Amino acid sequence: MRPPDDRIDRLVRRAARRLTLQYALRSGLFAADAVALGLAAAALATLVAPLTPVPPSLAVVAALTALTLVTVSVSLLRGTDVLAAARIVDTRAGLLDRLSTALEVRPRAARSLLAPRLLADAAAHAASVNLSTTLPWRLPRSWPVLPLAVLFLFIWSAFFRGAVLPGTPAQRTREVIRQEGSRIERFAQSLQARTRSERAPQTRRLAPQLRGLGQGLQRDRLDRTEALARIAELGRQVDQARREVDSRLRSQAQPRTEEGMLPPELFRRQALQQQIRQLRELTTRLQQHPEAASQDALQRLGEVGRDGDGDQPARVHENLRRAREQLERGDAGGAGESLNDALRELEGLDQLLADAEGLRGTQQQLERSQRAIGDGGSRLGGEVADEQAPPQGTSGSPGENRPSQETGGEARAPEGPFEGTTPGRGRGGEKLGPPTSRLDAQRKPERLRGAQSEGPAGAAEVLGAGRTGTARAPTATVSPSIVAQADRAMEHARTPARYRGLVRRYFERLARLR
Amino acid sequence: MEQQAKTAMTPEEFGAVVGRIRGEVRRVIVGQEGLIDQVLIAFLAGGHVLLEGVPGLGKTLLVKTLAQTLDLVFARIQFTPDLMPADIIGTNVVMQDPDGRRYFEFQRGPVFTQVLLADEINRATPKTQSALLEAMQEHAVTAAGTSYHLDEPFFVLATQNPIEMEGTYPLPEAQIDRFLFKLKVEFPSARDLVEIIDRTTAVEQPVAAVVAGGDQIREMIGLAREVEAASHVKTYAVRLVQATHPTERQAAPLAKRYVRYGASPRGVQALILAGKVRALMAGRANVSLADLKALALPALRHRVILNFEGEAEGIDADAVLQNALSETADLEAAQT
Repeated sequence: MRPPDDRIDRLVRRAARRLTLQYALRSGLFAADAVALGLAAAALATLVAPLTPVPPSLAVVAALTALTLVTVSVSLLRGTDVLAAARIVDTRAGLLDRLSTALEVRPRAARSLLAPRLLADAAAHAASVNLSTTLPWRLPRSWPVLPLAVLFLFIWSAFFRGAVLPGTPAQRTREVIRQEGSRIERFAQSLQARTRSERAPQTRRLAPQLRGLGQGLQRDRLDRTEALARIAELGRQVDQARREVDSRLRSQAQPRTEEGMLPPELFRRQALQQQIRQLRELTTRLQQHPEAASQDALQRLGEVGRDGDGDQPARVHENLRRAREQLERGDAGGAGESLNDALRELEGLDQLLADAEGLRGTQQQLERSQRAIGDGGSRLGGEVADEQAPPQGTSGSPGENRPSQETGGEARAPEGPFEGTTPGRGRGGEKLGPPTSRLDAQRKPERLRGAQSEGPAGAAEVLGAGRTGTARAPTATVSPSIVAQADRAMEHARTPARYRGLVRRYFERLARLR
Repeated sequence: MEQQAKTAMTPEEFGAVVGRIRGEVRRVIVGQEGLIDQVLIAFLAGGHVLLEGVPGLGKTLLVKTLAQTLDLVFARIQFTPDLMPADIIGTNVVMQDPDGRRYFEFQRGPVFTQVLLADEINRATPKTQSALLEAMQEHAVTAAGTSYHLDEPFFVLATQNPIEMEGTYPLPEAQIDRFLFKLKVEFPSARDLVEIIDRTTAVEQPVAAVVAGGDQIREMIGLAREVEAASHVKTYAVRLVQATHPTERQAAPLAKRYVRYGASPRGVQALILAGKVRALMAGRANVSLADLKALALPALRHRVILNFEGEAEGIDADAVLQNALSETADLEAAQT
């Protein structure tokens, strides 16, 4: 026969453990409900705010994790007092406070006349208590919240994902994403058009993906995070391709002298193409008139060597030197072969430079789009369009950027000659007045079709008359952004070889002054 | 010595005696089971009872029957407006011995009894009503500077008509607080009325037999005080009383609005003590929350003093207590 105290103790301890677990489970369910409700609210909030809704599967995982963590933590950290457990069992089992009173009286049972009877009575009643029915495992009344919230997330994800309310920040962000998608697509189209006329294999390979990205940004109902993720994914591919191209450039086109420390992209391709044209002409002449062209060819070869001095790869330089020696020996055939080798080297280098240029433009475009989407609707699309530089040929020369004309939001101070005309605060449109039509000319890219004939080919530099006089703006007021913009412009401008050093030194001096 | 006397009775014997008393009283009194039990509880708790009801409901008969079942000295005082305190307590009268010498001798009044029926107590003036104060609280009477102890057990059963009736004087608060219970005598049901007709209009009248003596009653009173009350039960009683106080933080909404003074500390004592007797009558050795809830109205209703607004709106103290019970029950649930 078990002593009465033991029966009471065992029952009350079991009840305390059961109550602790039930409380922990309730707390865990409450936490899971809170998580699921929070995620459902976040999904609803995407109607107005540029947020990323959590996928339903992730929501389920989060809710279950919260349930597990809170249940385990509470069950480990929170114990139920045996006296409180006894009171609850008294109440639920209708024991009329026998257990709780017995627990309190037990320490002083010797001094109480009725304590032994009370303990025996409580033990007898404890024996009849079935904890399964007294403290049943019940789900809290709020249990439907969790499945309903998850169901809501599934329905939302299936039917309403990406929906936004008009006039909200979410809608503005969506609009920015579409605009950026459109820009990326246009950029990709121009890139594809360019790769049709130039040999740039890496750029050609990436252009369709870029266009697909732009179309996807316009077509799919993407939120900011997804759009940025897609752009970043393509950006990684572009970056990898560009590293490969740069690596090959470094290995193939290592400048022969230390002057390679100059900005490598500043004049190289321009000079390279000039050298290619000259070498083609020279090679053609050597093939057509090998006996008559030696003296003239030597002179032209010398010019090519001087023009490319410092920028030419060592192997090209070596081939040119060999061709010159062969010409001096009267070996026109050997010189032609050497010139062909040099020409192939230069053409390969030109391809790499074209690739590098295309990839760099792509990278810049993606970065611009990332910035614009990251800013969300805080900056309007027109402003982003002003910032965007066309892929090639339309890059603004200094003075081309104008103050933005948008009426809403804060106008960003333009770069170029208008810089400084916009006060730090206020609206640009109010201060600047209507835009001038001075630089409204549109670029019309033209592409010549047909095959190159075998007849004589010629090339000549046609230079327009430069503006005479000295610069009117003090150099100290010229910002480095103009220097950078001038660099970009000079990459695409046809600058005579003898002026390149002058222009370069001019901008370097400006940069040092700043 | 007293402990030995207490141990002489067991809870089973307690229950048996109560059962016998209850049975004898029910032979005479038709219905009113709850009332009979509550009177017994108050009696075994050593308290006094105020019975309130319109005339003819059997209040006096109940007290007389109870006195008959117990082998105790019984006295009845019919309270009237011209009743004087000396008529209750007694007075010193001039006596003469055989030698012709005169001396004062205290002539004991009807209060010197064990079961006192103060019939229609609110018909006497407050001065006369107050004559019972010391007797009820101290179980003693003081006359001309001399105190006289009353025989134990001393039990006052007062009846009163509703105070709204003509020619009545409301009991002073100090007096009414000394009653353990205030019981409302309800009008009997139709079935009980038929039974009353049968019992009281026949040739033979039922008579209650004596089933317990004074010593037994004293033992029962002692044993009832041995019943245990858990801390949360006591806390509940305290919270319940506090809920009747309008200035307390946990005051019930009705108490805040309609109560001038809440139940006194005697209310808590009465609640726990009566709860102990009720538990013992139910065969338990511990007081439960259910005991307190069942006894809250009779133990506290006469201790709650309504304010002018409450009086004007006809609020019943029972309504305030029911409200306090519901509020306190919520607190109890929240704690567990």
